[in-house]
Amino acid sequence: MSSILTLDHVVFRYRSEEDRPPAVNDVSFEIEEGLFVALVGHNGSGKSTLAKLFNGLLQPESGEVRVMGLSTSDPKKLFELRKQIGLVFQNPDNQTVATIVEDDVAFGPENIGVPPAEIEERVRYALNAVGMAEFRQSSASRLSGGQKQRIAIAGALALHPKILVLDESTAMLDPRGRREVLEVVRALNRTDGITVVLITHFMEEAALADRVMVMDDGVLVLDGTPAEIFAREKELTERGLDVPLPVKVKNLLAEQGIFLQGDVLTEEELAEAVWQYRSKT
Amino acid sequence: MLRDAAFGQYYPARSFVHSMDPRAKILLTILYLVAVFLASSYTAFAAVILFLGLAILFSGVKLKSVLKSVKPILFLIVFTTIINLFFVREGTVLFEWWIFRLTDATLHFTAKMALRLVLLVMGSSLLTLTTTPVALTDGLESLLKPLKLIRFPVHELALIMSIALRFIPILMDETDRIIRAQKARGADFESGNLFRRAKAMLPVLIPLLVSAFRRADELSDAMDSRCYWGAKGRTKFKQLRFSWRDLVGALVTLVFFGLIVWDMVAPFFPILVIPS
Amino acid sequence: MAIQIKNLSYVYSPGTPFSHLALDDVSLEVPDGEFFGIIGHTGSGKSTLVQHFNALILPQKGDVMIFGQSVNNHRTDPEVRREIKEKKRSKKQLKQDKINLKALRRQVGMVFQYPEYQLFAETVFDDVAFGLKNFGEEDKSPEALERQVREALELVGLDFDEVRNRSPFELSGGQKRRAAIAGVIVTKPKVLILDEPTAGLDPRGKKEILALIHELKRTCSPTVIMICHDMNEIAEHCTRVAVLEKSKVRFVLPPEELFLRGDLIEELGLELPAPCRIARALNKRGFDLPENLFDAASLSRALGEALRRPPC
Repeated sequence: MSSILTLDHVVFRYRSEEDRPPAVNDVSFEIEEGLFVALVGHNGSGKSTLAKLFNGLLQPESGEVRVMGLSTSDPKKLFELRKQIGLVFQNPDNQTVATIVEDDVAFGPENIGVPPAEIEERVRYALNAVGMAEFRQSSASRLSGGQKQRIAIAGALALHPKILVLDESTAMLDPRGRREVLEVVRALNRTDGITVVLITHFMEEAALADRVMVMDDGVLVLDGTPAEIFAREKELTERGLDVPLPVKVKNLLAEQGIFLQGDVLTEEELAEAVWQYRSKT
Repeated sequence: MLRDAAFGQYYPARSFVHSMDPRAKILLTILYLVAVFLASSYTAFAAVILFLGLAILFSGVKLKSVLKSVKPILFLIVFTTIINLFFVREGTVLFEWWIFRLTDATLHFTAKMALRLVLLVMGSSLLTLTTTPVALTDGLESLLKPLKLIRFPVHELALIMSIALRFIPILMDETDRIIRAQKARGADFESGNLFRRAKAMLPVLIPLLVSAFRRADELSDAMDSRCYWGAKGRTKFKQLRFSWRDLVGALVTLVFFGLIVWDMVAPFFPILVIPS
Repeated sequence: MAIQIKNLSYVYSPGTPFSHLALDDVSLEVPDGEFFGIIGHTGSGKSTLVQHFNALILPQKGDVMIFGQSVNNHRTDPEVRREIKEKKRSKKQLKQDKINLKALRRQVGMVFQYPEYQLFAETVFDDVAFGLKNFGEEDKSPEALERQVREALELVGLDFDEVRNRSPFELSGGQKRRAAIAGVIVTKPKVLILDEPTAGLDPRGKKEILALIHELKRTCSPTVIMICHDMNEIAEHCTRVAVLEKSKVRFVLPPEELFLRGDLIEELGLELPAPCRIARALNKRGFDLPENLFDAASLSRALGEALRRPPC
């Protein structure tokens, strides 16, 4: 499969932090099309900086970022590039431009000069995809946090992107809102084939991904399947992170001499593995 | 909650006035405002009130909501009334005491002035009550288009306005929250003289400013990410289109406007006066 | 009794189309020394309720007692009530009312959600000292001020000499939150209220803040009241939990009892702590696990026992 997002020895330093090590320090990776990737790391590990490098909001000091072969360093390609990669940010209040939901979702298509009739189609598609069709005419300020973030996702979807990046978009939400957003994102990945990069520090969310990348002090330190990554409980804890509770339980059971079979990352998988274990003995 | 008290907020409803073109509404409101200024006789005022009444009726907005818009300027009305009592000196004296002199002319003048203010505010708030901020700025942008010829940044101005309108409730909530947080730390915003009170607001204003800048930063990132590239090559989701409603609205407004102008100029042209 | 709420009701924007009943006849008691949790959906009235606890909001109906003293004290007297209503109360009396309220408010510290957004002063020292200067009736000498600010900063785990002259806006995210908390506890409130204290933090940051809250409870504010969306945190830390739903208090129970009522919690649209959910899922498949387990260690112990025991 081809790489849809490529980072090639990317270094980035904030201007105010010239005396400190770079916020992103020689990071390279490739993300294949259709994947669900989780990017984790403690606060200040450089993961949000990465998100802004993905679509050229920030320019690398050295190295290159390419989205579908387009380099973010080429100012002529930036417009085309941003159609392909949608970003959703943390604070639901600070990414809506218009007061009324449908006007906000239309903002992106308007910017790229889509004819009005097609904008209508795109708005309808995007709001359906996030399950917010009935709120088309609502005022954004009266929605819940989870609903606002779904509108922000719809705003990105209306540009028909190939990649969706969520930069801690669940951090400010309550559990219900988090679940809503996560369900929408997983469905988009599975049914519409949109590549998803989920930046988060909820390990339970990362457990749902196909691939987990761990950032620490600007460096990509771990990269693998959730099972591979969460097998390193001690290392993750040292890096200010954690493992999902089911993994912890599996490890504690192993200490008692009870070894569960298969990958245990989610609650369902743990329950299943425990049940299997008992059926066998 | 502070935000619910915001003046002139959009009143969601489906009505004749709501579905008129914002450009038509803006132009007709301007015409209405001119009429309010021109109105001089009580007949003319009656015509304006009748017109406003009709507009409110066809807007589906509760009279109470429109009246509420007058509340913030109540002080201004009382103030001008008192000033008038001092300065208008002509007319037959009805009542005199110390430096105050009440004449019939004063009475008429102040009554008309107060009426004018109330009608001005009610009329313009009916515009904001029946038109979403986006439609309003779209309408303005479209009406101001000719100014682009002299390189006036019409689109940018409209965008700034709509974003400002969008963030007013958010910043009001935030102010509310910061005030409470500082109150919990013993801050006192109510006692002391003006200077002390202004100083006491610093712990509110600074975090508010910091947060406004942070929000602006994040919003500009979000807009860039959604391919915002300025006005060039942009399309509009909602095309503004005049409909039969706007024609009807315009006709009704013109009839009333004509009546008021006629009422004003008729005394100078005796030929126009209908013999009684 | 630290906080006592009697038949409290509160309506936002009464008499307008936006009027909204935030609290509906709520009664509640929080004794000294508790780690009291409050859970419920966004909009269930939690924030309105806790803002009554330190008289930021005065009761429209009902009463709030802080260490036995009513915030209504001057207002329960029918004579005074009439005076307030008719705006006849003299300036001096109103001033005294305000002083009384301030004294009550001082006993209850309140850490709002994202407290770092309320930092404002030029230096960390000035920001932390803000509450002291506002409340302090006692010793206002520079030495006393410095001593208390130092104590507060050290309590929250910041190095006084390193941060005292720095701008609070230069601190890292986690340090900002600590500095903001120092600004609340500097007046040594006997009750500490925290609204979502771990929101937006990474796993280590969360653990550290929760450890800090326990430390504060031990050394400074013996009664802690915490609003929290994370049921795992609620279950692990609180001694009793109040569940709010649609402006009413549905239960007040210790977590071990509360989370046994899994069906009810789910019916209210709230989450169970993850270990409870796993135990429940297994019990549906024939296991017999206790359903009030709140951490990985106790769940794995229970599972270990169940798995070693042959199924009957």
